[in-house]
Amino acid sequence: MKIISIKSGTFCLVLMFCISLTAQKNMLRAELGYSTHFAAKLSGVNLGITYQRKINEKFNYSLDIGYSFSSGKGLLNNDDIASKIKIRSYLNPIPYVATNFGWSDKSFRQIRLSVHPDKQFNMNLCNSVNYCIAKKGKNEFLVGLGIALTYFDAMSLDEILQGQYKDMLFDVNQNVLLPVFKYEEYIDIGFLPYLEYVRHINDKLFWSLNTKFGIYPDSNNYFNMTSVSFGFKF
Amino acid sequence: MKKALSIFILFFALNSFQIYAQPEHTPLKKGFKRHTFKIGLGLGFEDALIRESHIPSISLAYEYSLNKYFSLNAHLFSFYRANGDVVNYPFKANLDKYTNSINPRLTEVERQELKEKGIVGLNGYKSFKKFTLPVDISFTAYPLSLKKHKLGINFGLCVNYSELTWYRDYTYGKLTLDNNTFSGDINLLTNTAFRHISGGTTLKVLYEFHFKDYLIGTRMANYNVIPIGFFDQDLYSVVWETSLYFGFKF
Repeated sequence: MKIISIKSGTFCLVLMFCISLTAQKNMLRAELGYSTHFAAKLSGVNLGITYQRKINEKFNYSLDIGYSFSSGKGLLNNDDIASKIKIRSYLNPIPYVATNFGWSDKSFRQIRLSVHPDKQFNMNLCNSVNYCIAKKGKNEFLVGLGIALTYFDAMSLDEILQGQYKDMLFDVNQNVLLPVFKYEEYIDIGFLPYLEYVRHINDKLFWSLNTKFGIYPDSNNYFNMTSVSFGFKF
Repeated sequence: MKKALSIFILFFALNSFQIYAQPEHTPLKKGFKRHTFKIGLGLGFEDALIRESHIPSISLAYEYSLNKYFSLNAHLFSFYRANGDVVNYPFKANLDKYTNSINPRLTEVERQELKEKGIVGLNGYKSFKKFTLPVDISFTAYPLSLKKHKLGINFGLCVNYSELTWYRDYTYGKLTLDNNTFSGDINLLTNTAFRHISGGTTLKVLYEFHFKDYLIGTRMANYNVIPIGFFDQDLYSVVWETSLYFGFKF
């Protein structure tokens, strides 16, 4: 059973945004950080932009758009490095057959084949409310909970088949490892609880350190995004 | 590359020298703010619109104003796109059982499972995936700089990190699996992934509307990305970006 439907989740997002319109102070910040996907064992970079409004002394409302691009080894172990997956440069007209003529590692100057075949891109549109649990001088510590509408675009190495491949042109048998990829693209709604430390530089500027946990039980996605952000108040 | 870098540094040095050598010609107003932090949201395009992206690009920038007309910039821009392969393969895998394995398609069972979970927007054909993260250091000149309006041109050098996955090559032949579950003629596609760092140039045209402490702007940017030390038509790319941004002066 689905915990939150897309429609009810979207309604919550709109409702939270409407409540925030009564707020007074605005903040805008940019985030750059590191993301880790626990279930899929991926890691990568995340970027985001957050717009924040102060509802009162304790509560803030945030609307953020951000994304992360992560990759991982998946099924590949150290012996299966991409040397088994040959490519041909457009400068090299010779097809790959039994010999490696023209297909040495030198063909890949300045390029290394990825040893991270599993990849996931996700874009979040998140509405959240946060609460200030401690404030001392220029330091502030916040906890928050958000609902995020997220677009996932993922590929992963599903299986590696082993076999014999006979080229039709040259009629030569060769051992091949055949990577089998699985592709997925979907939209899901999940929860995004987070912790944040904010350091106010002055009345206008601040920086913060935050860690967010993405929980999407329906699509079995659980990830963490830890970012440093820099922003300003207006 | 080194030559281009030297010319670029020399150009900056000369420009800075000119600006500081004649301070009386470009007096700065009291309260002039040199630093600007910009956050932008936009859209990226590949050259000739071969591959468009529906994912917004995010850009962050820092600008150091030398005076009213010139500034130095550091700029980060990220751009992700996923599409079906443009290449038309002449042969298709001819057995349904392994079509899914060799070509990027989900099985009907997998599709049904995902649909039952309420997951929508299934599309298993986007085998081309590219993530680009160019960082540039550039110089901006504002030939038109009025009280509130600024029209600028920006040019510089960029270092670009990108990850690319796609079907690069194929061969047609007979495949026999070791576990004897399949033997037949197939079109063997080679899924290939690169991660590479490349260099390039960037050119941007921008318009800004200034408030006292803030600015709103729009920008059209071009990135010519050439992998360092290697030229290959598939790795060379021209990326365009158009975005709206909000800046804070301090």
